[in-house]
Amino acid sequence: MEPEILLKVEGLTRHFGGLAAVSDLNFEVRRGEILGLIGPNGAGKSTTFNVISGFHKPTAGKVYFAGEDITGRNPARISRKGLVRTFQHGSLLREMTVYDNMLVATISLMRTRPERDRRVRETAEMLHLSDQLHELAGNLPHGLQRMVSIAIAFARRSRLLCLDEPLTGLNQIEVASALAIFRRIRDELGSTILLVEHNMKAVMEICDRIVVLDHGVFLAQGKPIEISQNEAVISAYLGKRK
Amino acid sequence: MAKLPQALLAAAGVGAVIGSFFSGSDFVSSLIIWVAINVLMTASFRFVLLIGELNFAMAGFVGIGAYAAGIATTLYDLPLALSLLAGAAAAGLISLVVGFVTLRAKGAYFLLISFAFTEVLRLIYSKVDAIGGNSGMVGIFPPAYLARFYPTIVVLVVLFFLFILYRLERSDFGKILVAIRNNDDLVQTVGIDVHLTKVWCLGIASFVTGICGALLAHANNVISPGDFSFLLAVYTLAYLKVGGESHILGAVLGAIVLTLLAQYALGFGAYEHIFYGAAIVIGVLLLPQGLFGLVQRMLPGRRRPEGSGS
Repeated sequence: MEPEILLKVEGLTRHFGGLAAVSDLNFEVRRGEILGLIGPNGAGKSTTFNVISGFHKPTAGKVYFAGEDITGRNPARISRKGLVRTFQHGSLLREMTVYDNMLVATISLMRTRPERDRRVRETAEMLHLSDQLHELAGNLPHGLQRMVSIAIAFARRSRLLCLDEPLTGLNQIEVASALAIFRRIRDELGSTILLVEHNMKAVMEICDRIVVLDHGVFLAQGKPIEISQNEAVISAYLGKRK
Repeated sequence: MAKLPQALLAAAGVGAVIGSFFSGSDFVSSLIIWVAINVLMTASFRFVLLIGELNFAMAGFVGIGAYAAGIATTLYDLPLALSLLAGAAAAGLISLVVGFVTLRAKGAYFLLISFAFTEVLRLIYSKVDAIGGNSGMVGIFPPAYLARFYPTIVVLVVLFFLFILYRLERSDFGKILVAIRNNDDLVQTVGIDVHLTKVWCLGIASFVTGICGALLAHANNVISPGDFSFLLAVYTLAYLKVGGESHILGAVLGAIVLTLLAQYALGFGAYEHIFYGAAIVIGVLLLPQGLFGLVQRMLPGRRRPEGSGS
């Protein structure tokens, strides 16, 4: 039986020189939920992602994944445990085909080419990329490039998907289709999603719970409706009422 | 899809084998050997470029291969095959250690480290009297009964390793290498240890480079520290830039064409190096995809190969 708490962040602190990008952050991601991590620019969302996924070592604090301490492990090992992340900018292999982008993602997971091939084709099917398999990823329009980024992460069928601003630059139709895909990934395959995103409408629509950061500090957490009415959150985004 | 390059390579190979076997003149035999060795050096240099690194340590590893094979042949009287293997193994193993320490650096930093490595090795050779010091090692001959066939042996060995490098590049391992050049952070997030993969890449390339050194030592019979300066890597870079780096055949083409043209440049005496400098400049400015790109454009109806160029 999987633990109910999939990811637990405890007292997470990360300094860059004298600047505290994240201080004493605590939150948890429950299995099967879509958790939004939001905050104004510079709130420490990306730093939090980098520490969770092993790209930065925390100054203090712990990260537990499925009950296991993964603090400070290297990114490849964390990925093999079943936690995969995307990057805000350019999370794809531009000079390679869409097919190879996904293929590379499956290599550390499966031994044989036929297994990898089947997984790539299933993933392409689900993310509507089957017609672009042999295009170079860098030549695709922006919306499809975003989909390839998600496809790379999703091809691993990881237990936890950490998506860093996956909707940036997408039009309304593309956002709707991406959200539908996130739901399918969660509902049909039981993945858990941790989402950093600036598109508030989308976040409010898809997330089960939301955690808000501001200037590296935990500000609030709760259901979307609670967050949208939270005074502290509103003033962090819009500035304090005079 | 990939049949044409393979067919071209096979045809060139058969031609070289036949040519090397029937060539009566010593000059033509030597030329075939130089061309073949340069082809393989360029291909191994390009193999490290798959991860996006310019590996100037290649010249150093040619030297390690040459000296190890020279020692194996002259001091221990090992058979030719074992000498070649000794050169390859020495270069390969040392490169694994060197790569593990240095491949955390990327781009200009790795280039500088690999350059320094080559030059330090050259100084070491010239200071160690046991391997001939400044004047080098002499008397590295293939066994007498094989001397007649040596050009053919070189061509066959070169073709074999070209084929291995080509297969590796087309394999899923090769795709990881190109993926690392594209976006190494992303490759980490899909569970692949980027650092170790880079170390293996350098190890494989250097094993092949070591073979080149061993073949070269037995072809020239004499090796000296000056043969393995960073200039060797600069020449290789010129071959690759002129030939085109998007495909292994670019390395082959560039090395063949420039090695042959350089026979004229020898007449320039001290200005010989200008030839290579000019070749790089002309190659980069006029032929961004190299000779291979030119050939490809002249063949109608063929798409650009997947995952090419950097």
